[in-house]
Amino acid sequence: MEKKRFTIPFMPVHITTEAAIAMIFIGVLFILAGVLPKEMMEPADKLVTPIGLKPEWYYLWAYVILEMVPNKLMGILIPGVIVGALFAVPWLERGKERRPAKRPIAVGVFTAMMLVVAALTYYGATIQIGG
Amino acid sequence: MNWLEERLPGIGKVAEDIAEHPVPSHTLNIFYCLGGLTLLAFLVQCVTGLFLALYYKPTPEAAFASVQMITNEVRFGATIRSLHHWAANLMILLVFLHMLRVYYTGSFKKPRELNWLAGCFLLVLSLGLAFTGYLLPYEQLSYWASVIGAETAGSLPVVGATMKIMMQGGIKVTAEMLSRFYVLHVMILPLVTIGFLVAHFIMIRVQGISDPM
Repeated sequence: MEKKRFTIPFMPVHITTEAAIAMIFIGVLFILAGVLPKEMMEPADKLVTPIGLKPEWYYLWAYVILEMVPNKLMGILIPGVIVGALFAVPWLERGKERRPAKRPIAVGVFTAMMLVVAALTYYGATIQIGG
Repeated sequence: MNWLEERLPGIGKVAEDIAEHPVPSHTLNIFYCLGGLTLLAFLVQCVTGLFLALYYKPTPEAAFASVQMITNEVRFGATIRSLHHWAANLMILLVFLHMLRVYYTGSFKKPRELNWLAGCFLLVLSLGLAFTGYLLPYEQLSYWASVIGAETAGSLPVVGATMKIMMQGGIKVTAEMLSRFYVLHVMILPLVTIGFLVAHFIMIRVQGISDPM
């Protein structure tokens, strides 16, 4: 492995770049907040369960698994195992090699998992769940 | 600086250490900005969250009305709330993309396993913050999402029943659920998150940023 360590000084070069990116990010936030403001929705009603209830996009993949798997316990355990596997990544993949092309199996499994999560999210976003 | 140095010997060294460390040039890359942007999103959440907490009332009777007041009456209230909403969504997205970058560059490998672990906790904490925050406006969707969340926790083996009671404040959903989610959202989860963030950054400084591939 070639070790070329070109470095740039933190002050003032790196901090300037960081500040520029931070300002762009804050700008994007203000544009989003201005163009798509968060509106009020219906107040909570304990007596009326809404139809076609869906969680926010980041929980959709787990919710789809929960709804699709008939056994409720399995429906919880599968997302749990996926998240648990994430914690265990450094111990599941112990090889020294860092380039993705040189660790095809691990990268393949990880990518497949991510694609499944992405597909479930898309599926959850497009279908009507429950009723 | 001299004034401080006389009173706190060694402080100049610390400041120098923070300000003058060289940064490897391969990190001048948009993929290496994702973690820092996640932190920035979190800081936006702290600031906007503080302002929201000034007007928000965490009781089932007053919660919705107080959010309505923030949105319609409080000066800049709608902007602050929208910023909090968008920064929350972007924070989840960024923490996920940051994880992808760390995975595909193999940066989690020895000696950085523990920092990957801290990152995983931060991902779960972000999801927890999003989940608890979602209930607070006490809208139809937020209320029923929390009910389903508690139900789901309830079907876990062994700990399930207890977890459900702890979340709902009783065998059925009670008014305590909102207080508990509120305390989790504004106190407990942010403090734990800050703890993990500090550990995350200390480990980066100790181990250095991973070498180019």
